[in-house]
Amino acid sequence: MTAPAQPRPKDGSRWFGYLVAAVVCGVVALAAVTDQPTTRVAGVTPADGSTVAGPPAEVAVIFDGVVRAREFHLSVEPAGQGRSVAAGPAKLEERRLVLPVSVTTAGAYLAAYHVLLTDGRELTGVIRFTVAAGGPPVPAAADLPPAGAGGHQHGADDPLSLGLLVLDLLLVVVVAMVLLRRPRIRAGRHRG
Amino acid sequence: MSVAAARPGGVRQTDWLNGVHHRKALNLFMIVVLAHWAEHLTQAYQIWVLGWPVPQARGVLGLAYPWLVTSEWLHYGYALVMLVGLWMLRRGFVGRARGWWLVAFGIQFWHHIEHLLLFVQAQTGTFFFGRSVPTSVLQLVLPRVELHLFYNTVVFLPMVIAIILHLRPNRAEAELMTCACAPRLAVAASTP
Repeated sequence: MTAPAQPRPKDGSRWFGYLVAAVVCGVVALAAVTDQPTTRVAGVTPADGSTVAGPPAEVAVIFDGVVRAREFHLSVEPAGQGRSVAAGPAKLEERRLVLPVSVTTAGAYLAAYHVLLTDGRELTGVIRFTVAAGGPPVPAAADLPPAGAGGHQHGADDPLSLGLLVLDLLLVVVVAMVLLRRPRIRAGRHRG
Repeated sequence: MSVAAARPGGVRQTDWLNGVHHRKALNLFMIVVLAHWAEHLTQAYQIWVLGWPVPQARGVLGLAYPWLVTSEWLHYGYALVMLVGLWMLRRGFVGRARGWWLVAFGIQFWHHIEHLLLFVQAQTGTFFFGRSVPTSVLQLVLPRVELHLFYNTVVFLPMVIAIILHLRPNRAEAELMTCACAPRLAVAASTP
């Protein structure tokens, strides 16, 4: 008489286990072979505290290495006015964060940047510069792009996020109550 | 019908986890999940109630370790823990609860793929889809913050339903349960 065959795990379970193990090994290996030196700000243009003869076409933050960013923001506005002078969206090039601007009036300007690196660290700063009167002519107001382009935008105050968080709060409360109480058979829904 | 007969397939490597230790393992897993939600809800409180700027609203852990909250390692690691936890604990669920638990697993599987894409881009510095920051597939149509809040919610919702059905089963499901979460049938039977 032969002994009963030893039950074996389903192939799907074993296969999934191998898959997860392979992914974890791959991620660890990838992290080990990739090198991410800490990136720092090497300079800004226009320089902080400087006075420029004419309106700059762009404001740029220059880094000392290639930037790996998860998010980035750069905004420029006249000091004390809160009105963006961006002429387009901010762009992250390899070593530069650039915002095209349309400056129409002489005076003091503030640029604020925020770069969220993929290693979780942040680079932030404020640049102050002055555009001198008597520079080259500036474009008419009608040619300007809508204010706010390239500004500091985060998706956190939208109705979708708020609605999801309210739903999640409700679910957290419900599941916590269920987990804290003793398991029991549901009354009134008996079938079979 | 005996309980053992209702669960054909014999002894599996994860039976100890889905048997006498299922309640403990489920509680431990849910502590991790609820701690994650507590961080998100704390962030929401900091933004909408306390009026903190979004970059400064980093939950609790993020106040002490700002880099931690935004690290791709943390996001990928949590996605992986969720995927493995949902898979490892699935055999303890029976009946309707198992169906909902597997729905959560299926959605989390895709969510994990999205995070893997982000992680690989962050580590290699090679960004997909012509973007200048790590970008996942559905990020092409939704911003990252809203997208991953949505993902976390649509994984959590079927999880909560599964846990409610698991800890409040009907009689037929209770008879199929072999884990430590099973209500006492003798006590339940005496209930009118």
